[in-house]
Amino acid sequence: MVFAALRGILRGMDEEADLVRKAREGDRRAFDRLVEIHLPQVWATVWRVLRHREDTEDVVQDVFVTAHRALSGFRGESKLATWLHRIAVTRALNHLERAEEKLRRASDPIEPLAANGPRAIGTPLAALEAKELMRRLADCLERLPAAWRAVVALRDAEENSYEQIADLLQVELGTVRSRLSRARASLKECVEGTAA
Amino acid sequence: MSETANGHPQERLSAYLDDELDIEQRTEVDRHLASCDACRSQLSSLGRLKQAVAGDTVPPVPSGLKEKIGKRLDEATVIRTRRFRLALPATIAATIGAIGILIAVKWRQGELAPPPVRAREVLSQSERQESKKAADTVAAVPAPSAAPARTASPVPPPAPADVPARKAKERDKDFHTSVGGVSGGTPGGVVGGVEGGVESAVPSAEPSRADANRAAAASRVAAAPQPPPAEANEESRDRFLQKPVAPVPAQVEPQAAAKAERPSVCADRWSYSGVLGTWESGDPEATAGELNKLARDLGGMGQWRGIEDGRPYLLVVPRSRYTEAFRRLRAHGVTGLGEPPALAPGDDCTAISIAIVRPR
Repeated sequence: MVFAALRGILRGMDEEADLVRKAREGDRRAFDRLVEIHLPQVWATVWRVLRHREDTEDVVQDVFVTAHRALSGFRGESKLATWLHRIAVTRALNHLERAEEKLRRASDPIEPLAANGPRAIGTPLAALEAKELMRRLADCLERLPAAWRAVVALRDAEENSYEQIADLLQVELGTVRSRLSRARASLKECVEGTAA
Repeated sequence: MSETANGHPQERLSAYLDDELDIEQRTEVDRHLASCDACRSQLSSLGRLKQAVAGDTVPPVPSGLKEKIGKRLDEATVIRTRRFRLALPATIAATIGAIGILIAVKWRQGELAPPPVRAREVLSQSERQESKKAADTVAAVPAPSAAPARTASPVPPPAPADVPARKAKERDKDFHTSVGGVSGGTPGGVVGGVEGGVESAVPSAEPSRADANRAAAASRVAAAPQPPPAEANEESRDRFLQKPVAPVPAQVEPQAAAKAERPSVCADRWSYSGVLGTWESGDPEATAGELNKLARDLGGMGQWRGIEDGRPYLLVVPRSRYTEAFRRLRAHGVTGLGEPPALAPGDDCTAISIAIVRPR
């Protein structure tokens, strides 16, 4: 059974290498198949940074158009998924930097906190029900500065190492560490309702 | 943020949770945790938070997204094919365009066209004779048609002060033409624009300079008793140099061009404070006007898409005016603001949403 699984993995890698080769030669159907394979992961990565459906759709499209254009430069030294992941993170963060996107996102209708009743002040995280925790977390993640949200997503949701995150975001290792620490502290305060 | 706060290894707890500390640092934290209930509790909370983030649901990929990507790829392929069919490869065209801009800038600064006064000073005997010959030629031969401002009929040369000013105008026009051609924001625009820009910039520079020299020489020979044409030339040249000219966008990116148009310091660096207030108003348009005025007073900016859109008014203000913004909004009767929350570091400005609603 182990051998069968290994054979399956190797077959998959061969298939992907074959698709990449064909796509680089201009085979559009091969590239479409690559899109189909990698779309879920790229979507998830971009969503975790942007947390906005329409923006995520736009950026995901940009990612694959960019990848198609740059495919001739992909040497195969890393996995295609890793290469796409890097493009996705960069594109998502660049998207957030555009001022007009920030304006639009912040002016989207959001449920006023008052409409949900007064938030419980100072509820320790440990005491929160799972469902309430997830609801508050989603709200608080949206409010985090983009740079902080990106490190939290890359670390906690995608389990990248600090070194990998530093490489993806083109920052120092110490910056990743301090940014993640502050982001978590801020998230905790927000979720517990103890933010000043 | 320092690693410790009041003796507690705050920043290290986060890295400890991720197993990203070296052995020495990990040992120190272990030792601290053994005797600190608060940090153990903090670590536990961070762990729960980390698990929650890991378990945060990602919405499914929308149906039809794959097809949209396919369509974008088709469009991108058509554009790339169209671009390759242009006369000049983009890199060659860009290089020529860059040279054209350099010529135009140098011309503008007067480095390429030697000022007539200096030319007069250094003219040797032979050069003066040549100038005289040129002047005689100019008087007889109509001006070339490349410079539309010059007359084609063999009339006596115009007054000295007019000629350099007219040449300056033509150079200015050519300069703007070449700059305008290069400033396209897309590769396709650059290629297409550079072709037009180069054609207009390079050919007209040479005849203008040559004609200016000939005309200047002619005026010196023919109008010796008059006030030195060099002064008029220099005066005109100075007027030309002082004339405001649009800056050269040697490499304009769409974001940079858009940035130049925005008036407020808050245009680019702001974050959302998370605050949503409510302003009940029987005249939402007038209320939006009040908020626009407030935004301007505070050195910020505002945006609202109208009552039908349903979205709140977005007031973006500099951090230093944040508390004042709260005070003034409350003075207007805005409710639901709460106390101004602490702002995240980094951004210069912050945004407050104000829902403008009709009274019930």
